[in-house]
Order: sequence, then C-alpha cells, then structure tokens
Amino acid sequence: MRTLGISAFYHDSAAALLRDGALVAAAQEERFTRRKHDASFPANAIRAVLERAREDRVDRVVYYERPLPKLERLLETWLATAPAGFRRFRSAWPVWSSERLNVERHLQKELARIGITAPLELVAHHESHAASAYYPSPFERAVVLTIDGVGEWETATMGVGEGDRLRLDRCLAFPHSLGLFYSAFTSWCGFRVNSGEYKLMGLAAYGEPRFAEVLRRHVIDVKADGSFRLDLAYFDFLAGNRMYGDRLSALLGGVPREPESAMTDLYRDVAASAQAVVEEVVARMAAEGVRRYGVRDLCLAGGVALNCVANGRLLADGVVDRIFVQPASGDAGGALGAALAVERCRIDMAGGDWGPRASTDVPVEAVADALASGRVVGLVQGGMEFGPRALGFRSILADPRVEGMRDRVNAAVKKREAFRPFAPAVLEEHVAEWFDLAGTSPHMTLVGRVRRPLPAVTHVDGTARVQTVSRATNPVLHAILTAFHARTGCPVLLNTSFNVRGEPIVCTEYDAKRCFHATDIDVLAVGGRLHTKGGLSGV
Amino acid sequence: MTALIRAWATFRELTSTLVLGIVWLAVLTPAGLISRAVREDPLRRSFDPEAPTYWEPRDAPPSSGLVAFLTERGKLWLVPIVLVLLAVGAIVVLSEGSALLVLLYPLS
Repeated sequence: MRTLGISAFYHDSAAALLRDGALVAAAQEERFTRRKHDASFPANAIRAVLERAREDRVDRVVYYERPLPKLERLLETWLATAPAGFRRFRSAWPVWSSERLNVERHLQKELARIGITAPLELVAHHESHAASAYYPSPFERAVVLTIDGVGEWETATMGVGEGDRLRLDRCLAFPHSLGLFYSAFTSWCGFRVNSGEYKLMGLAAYGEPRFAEVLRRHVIDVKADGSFRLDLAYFDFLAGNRMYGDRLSALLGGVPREPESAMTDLYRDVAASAQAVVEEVVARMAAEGVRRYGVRDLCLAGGVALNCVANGRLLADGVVDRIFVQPASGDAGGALGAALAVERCRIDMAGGDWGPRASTDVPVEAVADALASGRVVGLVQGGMEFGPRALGFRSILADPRVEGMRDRVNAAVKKREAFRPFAPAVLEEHVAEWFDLAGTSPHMTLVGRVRRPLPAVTHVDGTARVQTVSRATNPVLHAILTAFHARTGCPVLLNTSFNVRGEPIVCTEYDAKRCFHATDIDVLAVGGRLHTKGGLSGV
Repeated sequence: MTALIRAWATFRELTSTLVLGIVWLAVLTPAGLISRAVREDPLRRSFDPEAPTYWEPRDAPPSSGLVAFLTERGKLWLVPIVLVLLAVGAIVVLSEGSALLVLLYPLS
C-alpha cells in the first residue's frame, strides 16, 4: 500500500509518502520553487518523493483538511462581523468558491496533470497534526496535544494515542487560538505573521514579562486546565486586515513596531509577556492531559509546538516525563500526518532527512580542519530535511566556542537580526557534559541550559536549542563532530540552516553552490569535495 | 494594447468588488444582523468566569455533501445563503477567465 499525503493552499505545501507502513520520503514545495512557505499545489514535492521512493504511482492520496467545516467557519465569521469584514470576504470568496470548497475535484485535476490517479481521502486538519505527532513517537501510550493557528474550526485538540489507535476527544475552537494570539504579538512587534514567530521567541529572552499579568486579566482568560478564550476586542483578525486591534496598542501603552525599525525594551517586554502566557497555557494543557489520560509522555504538533522554549520548560518543570515533537510541526507536517491518520502505522522518523538525496561522500577530516581553524562551512549531504530545521544535511557549520562567530556567520551569510540565537549540534554521547537537557533532541525541538562556555550558540538567557546527533541517524555529521572533538575537545558545532535570509533552505548542489558564491561562506562541502573561494581543495 | 488590458483588468476588479459588495450588503449583512439577534454567538466571544473549562467535546467526522453536513450541524438555513454565494462566486470567477481577455492577449 502506497499512501501519499498532501498539504497545500494555506501555508507550507508538502508531500509525504508511506509505503507498507513505513515513511519513505517527504519534502516541502518551497525547497523546489525557492519561494519561502510556498502554498501552491506541491507538484515538485510529489515528484521528488516519488522519485526518491522509485514509484510512479500511488494507491491513495490523503489531503490534510476538510472544506465543509471550514466553509461553515468562514460563513459564521462573516455573519458575526458584517457589515465589517468585507475586504476579507472580497479576497477569500472567489478562490474559495472556485477551488477550495470542491478541493477534491481541484486536487484530482492537479494530480492528473502530473500523472497521478488514485482515490482521494480527506482528514481533519488537527487529526493530521495529531497523527504526525503520535505515530512517529517512540511511546506505546501518550498524551497527544495539537496547538496551531486554526484548522477548520479547531485551534487546539487533546487526546491519547495507544498502540496504533489515536483518539482526540476535546478541542478549542476558532477564534480562540494560541497560534493567532502569538502571531498577533509577532505582528505587533514588527515581524511577519506565519514566519516571524521564531523571532518573537528569540526576542522574548531579552525582555521582562511585565505585561503578562495584564494580558491574563484582559486579553486571554486561561482556565486551570489550559483551556482559554481570547477577548476579540484586542484583535482584528476576524474582520480586519491586521492581527491586532487598536485596543491592544492602548493596553500595552505603545504603537506597533514598524518592520526593520529600531528595537526597544517595550517590544522586548511585550515579546517576553506573550511568550510567558504561551508557556503557561502549554504547560497547563500538558498537565491536564497527564491528569486526564494518566500517562506522562507527551506528543506535540501544530505550529505552536515549534516553540521549543515552551517545550523545553515542560521537561524542565517536570510536567511530563518524555516529549516527542513532530519536527515538521507546521502545515508541512500535515502532509505526513494526513497519510498517517489513514494508514495508522507507527513509524521512525530518525534523522529527518526525507527529501531528495545528495551524495554522503564528505571529506570529514578536511571539514573538521576547516572548522577548527575558524572557517564557516556549508555542508550538503544525504537527504534534505523535512521541516524547518537544518539537521546537518543542508547546514552551515561553525566553531561555537569562538566569541565573534555569531556575528561572523550573520555577516557572512545569514543576515539575521542580531538578537536571534544560533543552535548547537552535539554528539549524543556527550550531551550531558555540555547541556542540561532531559533526554535527546534529534530534531532540535527542545531547549536546554548551556553548561560550558559556547558563546556563539548561547542565547542571552543561557539556553540553547539543542540538536543531539547520533551515529545511527546522521553518520556524516556524527563523524564531523567526532573529528572536531578530537581536534578541539569540544563535541559541539554551531548548526544553522543553509540559506540566506528570506530564502528557503537549499535543496540541490546547484542551490548550495549558488548560495556559496553569493555569500561569504568560507568552505563548501558537497559531492565528495571541499570547495573554497579560490577553487577546489582537499579530496 | 497593454493599456487596454490593464483597463480591462481594473474594470474586472471593480465589477467583481461591486457584485460581491452587493451580496455582502444585501445578503450577508442582514443575515448576520438577524443571526446575532436571535442566536447565541457561534464564536463564543465572551469570557465565562463561572465555566470550569473552555474545552469542548469533539464532533464525529462530518458528512460529506453540503446539505447533509449543514443538516447535521443544524444549520439548514445557511443553504440558501451558500447557494447565492456560490452563484456570485461563479460569476466573478467566470468573468476573470473571460473569453474577451483571451482575445486581447495575442493582440498586445
């Protein structure tokens, strides 16, 4: 049985292929079209997963959302706000009536164009997220929590997985959404909705959560069990073209930040406050799941599950014993989840390299030499990552012990805001010496305290978003780390995604070389060779 | 010719907005006012200090088919509204893929 899961038309389009109960390939459309968060029909991603799996047909296709409940939600929202809200109706309805409502026919047509004819099934958005969190987890029984912006009606769901069964029995509904709450503050602080949320999380560490109490009192009413409602007077996403309302600005005593303008303490504190509220809600939800289902392991998915700071706190505070976060927690992972929701098979996502493959031939010793002498190295090897994090398959690596390395990597290639931290990759067998991290974090989904000086990867609050690297799932990065360790005594490297700001992570060798030549990356390891700016070197 | 195409695109934008605007004011606005007057808020837009929880039970998977779905949701009264919206949507979309435009492109 070959099951193709698809997400498309809202945020990150993607395709994932299961064959006989195992994941064989998954990829995001943006990596091929080079348009970040591309939401169009994922023709390229589908071709890529079929090619990697050496298949030219599939037995069924599953899409990650049901249009009818979504139509109901749109209608109810319009009816609840009219006459306000016309602009939203004006922009949404033509495309909805022609393509979204009958998404099955639309998808069948697009699939036929790339030669795929197979029965199509639909799965609810949050059921897709939940399946993507539970089925790849290592737990026999676990609480499952999904939290995002909004699916059809649902914004969060809770349930329990056991064996190959997954049951979601409670939900919160639109417009009461933790994802939209966080996005509103993202936007208020001058970052882009649906992509700048990481920046808000990074910024939060610099501020004091002095508005958290005000937010709890006026903006969000959180119950002891983590369920909540928003006061829509502070938001404008129902009828307007913005996320936040003027009353929110009045409450915070300031004006929304212009994108790219100077950063001030007000925005740092607002970010810290929104983050504090989100952490509290997630912690209460997780605790409620533990209480309700009597199990202390947790599976998380949905866009909010990418908030690794909140995830790390669940472990640090002992809310749960173990945690599995779907590495592609956003809508891209919905493609995998949709397929898993109908296939209902436990899978192992291991390294996360489910995309098109590049050669795994890498001059490891030469790379370690370059890193140890302070070079910034671009690395392309193995399958492309599925999900937003680069895990050492399409990565930029550097020495994390060097004080100015963060600024160097920023200046050389990433061009990011100075306040955003870089993440460390560490040999799994040495993690405890360098980080306070409960368990492993192979997909960079957890945050832990840094124990030894690693200035280039330590955030202002003394933490880091850690990737633990094992020999079994990522032999090349493991070998590079081992060789770097042998030279320097440090089993840690700075690991950030191989892309320039505003572009998706590189996919092919060609993308990598283009990025290499357009930036100040010192060395590029790809296709068994080490490229320097002066020409080839090494083997 | 490019100017003509641009003018046509603007005209099409405007007529689409006009048609959708009429439906908004003549159908959705009165229906919204009535629904707000006679129904509980389906978006539950107020805090409830007394409620022990805001969690809701999840519904069984919905029926496919618009009428079956809305029957199940107790919202059959939405059917005429949806039909009007679909008709208008079809007009707008058809006008966007208009035959006239196809004729104009090769001339530009």
